[in-house]
Amino acid sequence: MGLPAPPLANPRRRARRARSTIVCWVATLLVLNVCFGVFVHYRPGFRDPLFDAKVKALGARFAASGEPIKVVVLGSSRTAAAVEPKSLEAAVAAETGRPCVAFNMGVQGNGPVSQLVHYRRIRDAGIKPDVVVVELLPSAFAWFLDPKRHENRPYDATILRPDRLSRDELDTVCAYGFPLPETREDWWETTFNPWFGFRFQLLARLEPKWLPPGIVQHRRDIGETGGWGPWDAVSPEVKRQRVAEVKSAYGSQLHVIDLKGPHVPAIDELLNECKQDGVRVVVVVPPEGSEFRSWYPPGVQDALAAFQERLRRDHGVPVIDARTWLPDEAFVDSHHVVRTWAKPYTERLAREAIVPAVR
Amino acid sequence: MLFTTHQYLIFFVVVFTVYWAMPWQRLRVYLLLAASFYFYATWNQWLALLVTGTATLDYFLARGIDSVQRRGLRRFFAGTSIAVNLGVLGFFKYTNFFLSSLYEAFNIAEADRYLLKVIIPFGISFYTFEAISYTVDVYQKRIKAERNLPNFLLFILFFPHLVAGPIVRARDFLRQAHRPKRWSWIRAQHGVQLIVIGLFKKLAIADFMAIYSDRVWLPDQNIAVLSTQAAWMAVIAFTIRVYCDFSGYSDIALGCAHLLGYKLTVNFRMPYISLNIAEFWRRWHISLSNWLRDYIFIPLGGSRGGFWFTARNLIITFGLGGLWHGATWCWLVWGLVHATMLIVHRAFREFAEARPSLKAALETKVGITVRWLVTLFFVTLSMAFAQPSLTAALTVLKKMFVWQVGPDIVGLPVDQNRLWWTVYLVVAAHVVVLLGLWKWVWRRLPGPVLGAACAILFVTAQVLSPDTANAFMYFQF
Repeated sequence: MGLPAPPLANPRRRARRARSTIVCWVATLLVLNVCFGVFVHYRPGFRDPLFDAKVKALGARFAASGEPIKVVVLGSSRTAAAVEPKSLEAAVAAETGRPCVAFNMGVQGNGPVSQLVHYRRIRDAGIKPDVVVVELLPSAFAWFLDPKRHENRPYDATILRPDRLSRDELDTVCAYGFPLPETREDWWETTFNPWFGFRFQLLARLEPKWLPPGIVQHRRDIGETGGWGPWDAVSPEVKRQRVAEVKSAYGSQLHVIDLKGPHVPAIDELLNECKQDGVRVVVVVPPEGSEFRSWYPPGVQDALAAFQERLRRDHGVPVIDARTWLPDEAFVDSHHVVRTWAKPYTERLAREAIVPAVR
Repeated sequence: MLFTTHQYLIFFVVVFTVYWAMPWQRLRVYLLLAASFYFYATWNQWLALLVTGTATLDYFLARGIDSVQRRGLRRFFAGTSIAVNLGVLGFFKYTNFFLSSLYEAFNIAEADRYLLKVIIPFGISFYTFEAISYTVDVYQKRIKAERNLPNFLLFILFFPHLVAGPIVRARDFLRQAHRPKRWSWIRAQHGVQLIVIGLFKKLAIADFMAIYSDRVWLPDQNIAVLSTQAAWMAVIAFTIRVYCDFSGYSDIALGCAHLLGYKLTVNFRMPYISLNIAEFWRRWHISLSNWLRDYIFIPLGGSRGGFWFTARNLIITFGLGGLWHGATWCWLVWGLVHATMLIVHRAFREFAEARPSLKAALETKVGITVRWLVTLFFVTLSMAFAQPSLTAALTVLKKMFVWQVGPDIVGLPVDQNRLWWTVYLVVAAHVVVLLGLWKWVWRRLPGPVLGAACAILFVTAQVLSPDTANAFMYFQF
């Protein structure tokens, strides 16, 4: 069936052809890898697409706004969903009588180390906010089991993959408890084999829908105005299913929150650097549903309260525990705020945390 | 060490470079032996020692078979070798299966506590079958016992085929181990092509399909809420995955072996284009189906008796073949389902051969298409039994045929278009090969273009590879 195969050439010609095939295979691979590696080197934003898109939008928004109060909100997907910049701007402007520009820099999976890395990038991009809202996510201080390597690692290390980091940032994260030598090995693997290492960044540009599930930090979709990434309400059945999924993901982790771990000093460093840069800081524990809060063991609740107190004392910053601010119906899955509840939460956050900081 | 990891790439490049840089032929065998031992020991050094130990025992027992004339003694040596191999396989792979079945039958609570805490050595089923076939061949005087221990150990431990086949035969491999190796560009090109194609099958297709199929196939998944559409999608995804995963592994194994101057048995010849189930087994996991044929089916009498005698032999052969895949009732049923399909095919073939008009109709284009579709349909259905439990398998089958509305693939935020594009790609690749276009094109392409195309395919495989570094599915067997 089908076309007859063409006759084989004589062995000497075949050998010559085979040699040129292999030589060109190796040469093409080298050229492709070197070219792509050089491209990424000169386009560092390519490494962390969502953050890059957000920081560009942030820069443009701040540059176009004259001299208002500039607020940057750092954090995870919880912050990305809960803080609506427009409401924050309106509330701060109404309370202070000064214009305000806010941007939600929340990126899924950000913990203390990621926030430090992102704050430094914002600073290095020449952006100086007046106020930075730092998220204090209790679960981000837990140890997470890496299913591939069967070992515990800080929460940030499960999400902030080495391909999203520059060489300098690699040193930073390794100093804050990212597992060694895997983190460095992964970074070098990515550097030497960029087509594999940056495949999600590339797919996110070419065909974002083809990204595997869970790879959301590589999409360049910054959400709505000001970086807000709202979550729509779901049916009670879907909500129950999502709460069950969240419980299986976080329930046991809340028992292994370690407020003395190697990743904890990252938040101190972030607060110190903000202070040195003359940026006022508000630390916020984001809202949680009653079910999520019920998963904390009593000892951890006390330790968290003591930790917040220490931050207040050591850094002189306001620490707002907003975990009980919203009712259960305000959540999609007991920890991500529904779109319609973002406004009241943001307005309260502006009134009780940000306005006192800028006055 | 997976074939798809950077660690393997470094390992292979080092072995390859030293191997061909070495001017002494004998040392090359030692190098490959050391590399193979290291390859297995990176996973578990004790089990690497176990494999080496049993292989060494097989070597001496085969020498014993060869050196004595008394039938009883020969039988004793052969029996000991087979018993040791089956004993090790049984202990590691089947003890817990029998214990758990026993506990279940007697309703013993917390049965898990009484199971053995053993890990199944990677590829134990593969090298056990290789060792048994060697012993049987020596016993039946089909081959002479190998006199060189390193050569024999390399036959069992050669890293490209060690953990997931193909199941090589001693007469094919040992000849090659003795032969001095000379570098061949043609062979190297063939090896590179096989590796690139294998990687594409594994990374871009199989691992991606796993995202869909794992939602149904992993033990902790809630398949009760599965919709009919989702069940079909998952089974189709699994059917493609299992083929691309295993044939991808085999391609890489063959490619690596070629680069080291060895030729391993071809394991797959596009099984999904088969027109009947017998042909499917001549195209699917060829080294296993040949082994089952030569060492179980034919010794049982093969098809030399009547219809029911052959049917009995098929049931025994495929029942054991099913259990070879996995120590679960589900795999046994899978084997029996295939045996049943083969029996039905045999009956239908006899029925059709007695009716020339029906036979002629089956040879028309429509007839061929129908035969292909029916074969593919039943092969796909049989994949439902590759489940952790019979209940799960039956649930999936029920979902496929009893209409149910529900989430597409439970909570899977991934574009289903990519699944369908991958299906089209697999179909298109089959058509291209079937029509002879593949050979027609690649034999005409200039070397540099072919090399560049291989590099682009290699890079594309990496770009399309998902987040997970899945082990090859057949490692578990």
